[in-house]
Amino acid sequence: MRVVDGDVAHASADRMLAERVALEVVRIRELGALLTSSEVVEGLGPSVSAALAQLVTQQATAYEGLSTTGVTVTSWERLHQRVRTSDQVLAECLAVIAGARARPLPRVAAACEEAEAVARELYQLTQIAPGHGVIPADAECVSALSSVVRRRYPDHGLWDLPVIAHEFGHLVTRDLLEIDPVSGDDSRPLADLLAGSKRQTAELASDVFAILTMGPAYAENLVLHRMNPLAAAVSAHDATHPGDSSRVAAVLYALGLLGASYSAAKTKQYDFLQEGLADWWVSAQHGVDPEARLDDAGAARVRLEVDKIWRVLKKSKLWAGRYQSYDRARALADDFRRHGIAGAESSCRNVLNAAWLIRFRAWREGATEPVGVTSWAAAQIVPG
Amino acid sequence: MDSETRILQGAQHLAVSARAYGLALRRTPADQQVALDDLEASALALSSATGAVQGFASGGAYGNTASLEAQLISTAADLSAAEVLLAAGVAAAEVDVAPGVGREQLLDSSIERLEVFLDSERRTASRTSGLVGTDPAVASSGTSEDLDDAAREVIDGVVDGTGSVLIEAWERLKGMAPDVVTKALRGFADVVDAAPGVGRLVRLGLQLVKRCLTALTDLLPSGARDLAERLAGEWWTEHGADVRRDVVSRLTGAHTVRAAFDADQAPSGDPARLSRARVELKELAERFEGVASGLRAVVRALAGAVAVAAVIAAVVAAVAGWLPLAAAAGYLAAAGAAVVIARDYLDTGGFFARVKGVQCILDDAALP
Repeated sequence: MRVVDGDVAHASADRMLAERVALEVVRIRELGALLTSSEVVEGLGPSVSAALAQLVTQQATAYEGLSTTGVTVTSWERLHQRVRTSDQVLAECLAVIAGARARPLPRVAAACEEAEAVARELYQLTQIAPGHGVIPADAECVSALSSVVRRRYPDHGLWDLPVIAHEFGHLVTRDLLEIDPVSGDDSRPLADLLAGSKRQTAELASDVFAILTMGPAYAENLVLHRMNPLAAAVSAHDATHPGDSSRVAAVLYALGLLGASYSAAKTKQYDFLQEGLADWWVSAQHGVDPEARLDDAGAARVRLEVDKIWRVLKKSKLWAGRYQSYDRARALADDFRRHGIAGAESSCRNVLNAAWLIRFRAWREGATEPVGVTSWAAAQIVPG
Repeated sequence: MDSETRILQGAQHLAVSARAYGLALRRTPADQQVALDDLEASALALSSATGAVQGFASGGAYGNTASLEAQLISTAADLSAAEVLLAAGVAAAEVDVAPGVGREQLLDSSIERLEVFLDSERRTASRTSGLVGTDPAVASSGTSEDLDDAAREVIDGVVDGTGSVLIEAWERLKGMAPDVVTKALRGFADVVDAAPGVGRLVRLGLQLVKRCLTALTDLLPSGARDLAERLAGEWWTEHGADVRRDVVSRLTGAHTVRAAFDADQAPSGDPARLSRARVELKELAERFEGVASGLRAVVRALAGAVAVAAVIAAVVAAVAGWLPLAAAAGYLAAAGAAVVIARDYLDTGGFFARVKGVQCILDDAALP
């Protein structure tokens, strides 16, 4: 049979695409083999490594659906779309493997153990995201692909631990499942609320979750350590996070809502913190560009979003786990002030709130923070 | 995401936005403005999702590809949303209301009703997904007696389901002035044409009510709509102090089908064919219950919207002149639609042939 020029060209293109597909599958399987190796399984734990290995296998399988005959422009587009997707999965796997390999280093391990203690407590409250260890990374984050929480390393030490609640919040917004007690039907109220909204709203939801579960410590951590007073108050439409002043407004407002949810005697217990943090933020913004300050309409938009998220949280099973023991944190902080040491405390949330209250008071009084706060708090969070 | 999920999610967003709007009314003007914009955006998003199902994007409800059940759910969702928007308009003092009306309570109870509607629809959706064709006991049973029993169950179910819609409508109509009902019976579509507008949210709410009433009358093609009006008129004339089963049975033609069954022998034939027919009958019964449930939800949601609109009608003459007639037309349209659709399910005649009804299924089963 005579082969005409056009067919030869088509056959070459088919072969080129087929070989690219085969090479991509080999690349993916290579990572799959790495994920099931004993060193990695040991580092990540069996459940995480198995979940990642399954993700990788799914990626390899997805290539089988690509047609490699009669190649057209669409065939190449499909291949490159697929490569982009599998590259994201591979990048996440490699990041998790690298983090898991760095985790046993002594100083890193101590930081990760602290974060894991917080994550464990959050799991007990939410029954979401069980058994995942925390690994180090250059920024706190959690990927929807692996659901592995990362702690920034190095960070500001114990003071930054409340941020873990924000990262955990991303898993909660995705996985919160409410079961109807009558019919047994399930729903995902937070995921439904966030469906179709901007990524920034999901970040706000995680901030609100962190306030709900961690209380004032998260607001103090975010406002005093993490937000940039010079940053634009309202982010660009395609930015991942809301503007820093927007987040400050959100956490302070949510803190007010948390206070208002308590019995009458306690509703105002966070007022001094709200006022103090708001004042310090205003003074930090002295002389900054007007774009960095949140205007009335911007603040109203933040309150509206927080109200909507809060409403869903209030109707969910998470409500029972909201932070309600600030008097215990206050008692621990008072002990520290009087005696230079406080007693034992098993709740990470109480420890972090006590430590942050001590720090807040020292800032407010223009005093130096008492020596030994961080070592006391660290010893409570990871005993021994 | 399917259209029903999009509608329920849209209605959920509206409920959350309305709650936030209620809170914002106690705050600064900036809060109120932002929350109002958000509520309006949620309403428009829902309206776009429901409009797609009702076929408004292509210029009319009838003839679109959405199922009757989906159209009814979207209409009920719109009416529940309309109630919330009207109540939000009242809460925002867009209109004066009579002394003693609790503006915030009105909004709260409207949102609660929307949430109840959402819960109920979610439960219905999760119950019905996966029902069809999953019962092996039904599929394996292929005797002619089984088929006869199944057919009689469908007929009873259709009569009961139709009756349940009529009861919902009757409960609302019985309190209305007889001349209003009589006037509404002269033509459903004419009286819903003009919706007066007062204020931003109230106008949006009334427009939505009007759109739903149009969707309700447009559920049926023109010939079937005439029949629905005639049957609704007959029903209204014949009913006594209650919705009577014998009247429902006669209007739907169920009594003639039953009589034919009593006279004829049950179909015999290939067991596999009989078994398939039985599955079809079961699916038919479930589908009619879905339609009846949708119509009941529409009547209830219309009643909710009408109740809030009545608060406005008490002080706004333009609404007072329009509302009772439009409401009566809506209830009668739902009642008429229930009867006409029931006739389609029983194959007892009409201008509406969307399903293979009981008699067609039995005829097919009896083929040699």
